[in-house]
Amino acid sequence: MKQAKLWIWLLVLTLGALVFWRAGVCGFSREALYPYEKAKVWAERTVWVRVNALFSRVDHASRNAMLERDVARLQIAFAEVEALEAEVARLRALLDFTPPVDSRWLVAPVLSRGGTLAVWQSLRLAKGTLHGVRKGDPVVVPDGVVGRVTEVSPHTCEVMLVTDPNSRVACELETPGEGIGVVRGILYGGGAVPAAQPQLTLLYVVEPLRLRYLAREFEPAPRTRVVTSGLGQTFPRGLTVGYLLESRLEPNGLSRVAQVMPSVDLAALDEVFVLSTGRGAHAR
Amino acid sequence: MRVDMHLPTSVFCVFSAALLQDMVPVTETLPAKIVFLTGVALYAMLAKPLWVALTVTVWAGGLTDALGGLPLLCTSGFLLVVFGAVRLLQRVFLEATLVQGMLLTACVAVCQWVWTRLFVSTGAPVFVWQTAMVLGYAALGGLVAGFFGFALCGWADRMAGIVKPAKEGHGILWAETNR
Repeated sequence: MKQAKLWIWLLVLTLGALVFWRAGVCGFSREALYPYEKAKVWAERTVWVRVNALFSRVDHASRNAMLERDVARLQIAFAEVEALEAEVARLRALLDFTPPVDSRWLVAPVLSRGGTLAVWQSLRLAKGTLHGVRKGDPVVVPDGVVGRVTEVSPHTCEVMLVTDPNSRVACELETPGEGIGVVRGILYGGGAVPAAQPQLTLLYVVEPLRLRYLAREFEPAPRTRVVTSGLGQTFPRGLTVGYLLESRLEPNGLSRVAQVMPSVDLAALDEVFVLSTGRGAHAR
Repeated sequence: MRVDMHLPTSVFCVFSAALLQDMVPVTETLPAKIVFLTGVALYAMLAKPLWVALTVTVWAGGLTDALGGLPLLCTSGFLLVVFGAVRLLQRVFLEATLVQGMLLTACVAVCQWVWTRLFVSTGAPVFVWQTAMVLGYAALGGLVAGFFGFALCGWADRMAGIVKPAKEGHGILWAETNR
């Protein structure tokens, strides 16, 4: 009976924590798994890569030379960008203009994908409040936008991918030529598409995103680049989100909806950049 | 003071299952998560005393929800329903053996997938032809999870001395023989 009492107490405490301390339980569980997940990522990045290198036939010398050339080229480009950045800052100061997102780049390794049941299009990253990550921070890679931070714990954060049915991003089309102006819309994640063929939400299946509320008069060409408009105050302007596949009028005829293929291969992400707006204890 | 060995073994098994379930990714070859936590919960339902089994069930469900971003008590509620069913069936035929555990986890994994999809429905139809394929994979994952859950928990229980090893044909433990 004494032993049963202990378990009854544990059960009551667990239920109480689940009901009254939900956010804490989520954060606590993620933090409890974090060291082991990080160890796994470390093993994959260091040990596994080296073991693989032993048995692979990659010509490391020529690859190294190519990368060195790339680094030199990027250093020159970076110097040019620095000069342009200084000019932009000076002009912004003259105009008294505040950029929509004042942030710094934070490299974050991907710990896991899809949570414990893979019902959401999400990633877990090894950066949290201690590194300055905040809820709502945009997550990007060189190819384009990945998503935004939805939950943060001290060492980890959850990222909702742009492909999640709950994701919304303010976007515009990169329109060619003059006289067209800016064509803006809101990019919806894949998933529930009532009018189209029903599909299950699976992590590895890339469903086209939907760019809604576009001006009905303008019919964009396929392969038009879709970029962030910066109007949502979350993503800076000009980040690539995807490429347009096709467009049609909405059933109500008031606006146009387009199908957009994401520019990022979301299933193959190992490291991403968080555009962090905060400053944490571990922030550099 | 006697230590209740159910506590460390249960914590160890639930933690290991949570770690595996979170880290084993969903891929094109296996598009449904392997529900290791459900495997551990089912072992507890079949092999542990009532209150221990109930607590482990709530832990497994709570962890699945907390780490998977699911609504409060979604999986815990499901596993509590399964708890009732399993305890009833246990009187008829269910035992905590590896084979029965694997088959049971496979069936429960399929039901859990449907339950979760209905619980977090985004408006997309759940019962389409692709569901059959995913449910097949969920059952396959359930077999793996059942093997893991019942093998690991059985091993932990034997190590902790909760479950005694099966006796040899002549009634003397192999470990007790004076070789």
